[in-house]
Amino acid sequence: MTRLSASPDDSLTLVGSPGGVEVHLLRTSRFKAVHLHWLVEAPLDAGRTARAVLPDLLTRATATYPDLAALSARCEELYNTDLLASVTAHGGRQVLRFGAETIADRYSLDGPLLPRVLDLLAEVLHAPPLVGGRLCAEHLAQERTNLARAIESLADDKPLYAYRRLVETMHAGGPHAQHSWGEASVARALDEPDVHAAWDHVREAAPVRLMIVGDVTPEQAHETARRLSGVEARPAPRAAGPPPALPDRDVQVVEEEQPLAQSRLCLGFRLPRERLPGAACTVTSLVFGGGSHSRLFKRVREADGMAYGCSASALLDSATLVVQAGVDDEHLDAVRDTVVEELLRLGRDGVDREEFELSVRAQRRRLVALADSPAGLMGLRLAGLMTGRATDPARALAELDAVTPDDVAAVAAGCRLDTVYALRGRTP
Amino acid sequence: MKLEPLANGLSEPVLAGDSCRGLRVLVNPRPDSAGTFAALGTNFGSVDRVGDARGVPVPEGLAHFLEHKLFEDAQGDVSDRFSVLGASTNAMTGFCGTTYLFSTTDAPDACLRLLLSFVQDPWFTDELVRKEQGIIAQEIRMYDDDPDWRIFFGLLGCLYEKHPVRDNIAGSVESIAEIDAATLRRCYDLFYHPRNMCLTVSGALDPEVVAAIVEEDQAARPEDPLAPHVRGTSDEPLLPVRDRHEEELAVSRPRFLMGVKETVLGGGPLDVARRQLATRIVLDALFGRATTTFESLYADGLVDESFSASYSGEPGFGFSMLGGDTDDPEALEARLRETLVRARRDGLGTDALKRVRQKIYGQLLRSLDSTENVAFGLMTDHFHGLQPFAALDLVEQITAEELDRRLAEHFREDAFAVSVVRPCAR
Repeated sequence: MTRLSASPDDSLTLVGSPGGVEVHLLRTSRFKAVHLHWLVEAPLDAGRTARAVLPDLLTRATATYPDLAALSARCEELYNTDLLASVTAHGGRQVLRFGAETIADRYSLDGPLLPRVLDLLAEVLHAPPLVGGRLCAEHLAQERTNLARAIESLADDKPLYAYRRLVETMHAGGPHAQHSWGEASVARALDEPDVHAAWDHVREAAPVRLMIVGDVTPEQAHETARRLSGVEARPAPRAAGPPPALPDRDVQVVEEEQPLAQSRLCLGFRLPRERLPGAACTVTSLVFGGGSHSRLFKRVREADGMAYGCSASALLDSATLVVQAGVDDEHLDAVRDTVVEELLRLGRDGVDREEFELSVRAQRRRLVALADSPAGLMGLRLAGLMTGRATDPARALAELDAVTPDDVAAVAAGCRLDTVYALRGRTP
Repeated sequence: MKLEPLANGLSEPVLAGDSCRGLRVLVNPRPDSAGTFAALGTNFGSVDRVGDARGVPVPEGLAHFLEHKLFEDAQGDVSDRFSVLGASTNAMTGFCGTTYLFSTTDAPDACLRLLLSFVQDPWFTDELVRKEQGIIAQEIRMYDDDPDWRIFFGLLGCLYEKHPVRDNIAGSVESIAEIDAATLRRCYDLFYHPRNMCLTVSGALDPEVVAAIVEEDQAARPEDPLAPHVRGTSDEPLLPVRDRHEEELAVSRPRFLMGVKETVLGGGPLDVARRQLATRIVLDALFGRATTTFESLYADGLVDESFSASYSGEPGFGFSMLGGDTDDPEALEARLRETLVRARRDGLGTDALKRVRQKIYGQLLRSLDSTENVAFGLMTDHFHGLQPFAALDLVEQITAEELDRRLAEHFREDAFAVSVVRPCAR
């Protein structure tokens, strides 16, 4: 009763593109819920802030349910259906996520539920409460303020803030430096025509993928796509491209100071571009700083006792290896030197068999376990489609199996430190 | 050990039994699941601050320290052995419990043996304790920079004067410096014994295999002469010790949290569960997304999506919490107080129970799609003395009159306190 590999039955598949909407479906009765994601793709350009306000604005009210209380009450009547509304980025592109998570029809105590949920979702996408053809001024004013505040509040989570500052510095001028929510000053200045135009584009002209995991037939999925799209044709989502190249330069060092108990250190290394295909960079990040078996955990936390956490992660769509640590300020320089030294050592001396196997096994478990997670399966598929990487666990596992210890050493040897960001904590 | 089906309102397969040494075992079999999630918990958390049967006090943060130390034994780091088995492992300490877990798709039987063995065969040395003091001090400093953590414990410090729920779960840098191997051992012996523990498993591992592994493990251990831990009462005053806590941190906007101290304590498991469910329904009826109160607070810009209202209740302590990010903590406080005072005077009316059953049914059903949720839910219900998914049955029994009673007894104005975090001057 244990699984060591992924089954094709665990994967979403493309079941058609009615009206240009790519429909990806995993039909299964394994889950008690149905997960439906309507994924709108757009560039990370100057218009991203106007689009970023849409998910919260459109899930705020509809023509039939004209305020948040009425809309929330409707969701509760539908067995506490979750209406999804979020904005993220993949592969240097913006993704607006609308959708619903609800219980499967077979558990409904009062007749089929999915059609009622689709009615509501279609109304969210296409029928906000308009006043004279314009979006409700009061709602728009509140949601643009909320967006601006949310963008400003990103600075309150210090690990996230330090990470964002590193990425912004390292990829300045490119799409990977742009936060998918946009800029607070732009959000505050948004007016109705800006947001209305963004809404028109999203509902009529933007590329869309529909992903469904649950007890839903392909025919139902196609009908859902037509129903939610509302137009005859949409452009296909853009093909994934390679990460933008960074200019030749010396290591960038940025330091800031805040009244904090702990300092945050983030190091950004360039991953060797020729090693980006496959899973070698992922395995390298796991060997280096991917958990309690990793080199950074063993050295920085366990041996040197300099940090509670010190980890590494590979951002493949921007060819970046990020190392993050929370440390006492007096240890900051020592941790930076240790991280650089350990990566050099990994490239020079290679990986030992045990740490390599532990890393591969950890990644294998994550990929196989995706079969139990509808959100995980959809996340892997979306990220894969938008970055040109594996879109299902079986392919990802095949890529993992192809990685050798020599590949890991080659990735480590090919990494180049590009940017050091330190958020120095000073007790007030 | 024989595992017997346990009836529940969601018809979810749950098997239960007790080992020969008294360990409670609950299994949710899922033959078509890719993975298995297991949790071994003890009824011992940060509020349990005694080191022996006579009640000798132990330092703040001891339960959390013990959790850290169990991951290192004579053979080294236990996490490494889980990694070799293709599993991930973790642990967490709360106010009333400590839980050790693994998640795997590979060798769940071997992982279960390892889980049972590392939690029940500790290894404490003063040298390893000293090393861990440095690591936990880093963890404490990390939480010191977390505004949500700070505002939460700022509020508990207002609500409670003596009860250890007011103290940071991880302790302080000073308190953990007092911990040594002998103290850890004493606490371990007192709280980590089969009758005070529970194992829950959800996923692909066959229940018969679970039963065989547990029985083999338990048969090799001595009889457990101790009874399950029962928390005593404290001499905590009925009402909050302070009405306000304020501090400045490196944040962009103020955060506000209002707390209501529980003044009705004690009772059996069903009393506590009813209290908990009724309070949550009241909070949802007053401040949930489907209420006019939330709508008006949102429309007036006093709250955003970060706002939440919740209740935590145990026999010996409890509190409601309401709040989130806001530009105007004073205005939000006034509106929340006004809403509670008005509701207490006028009652909730019968609307409060509308939609509740469908809402809870939908919530519980969807939570079953996660083996982790199921394993944690089974453990929580067990330590609270409840049958699995008891909320579904309880909600049927709760009446509008009971909600009004609960509103009147819990949300008394003299039980309120407030915690505010403001941006520090740059």
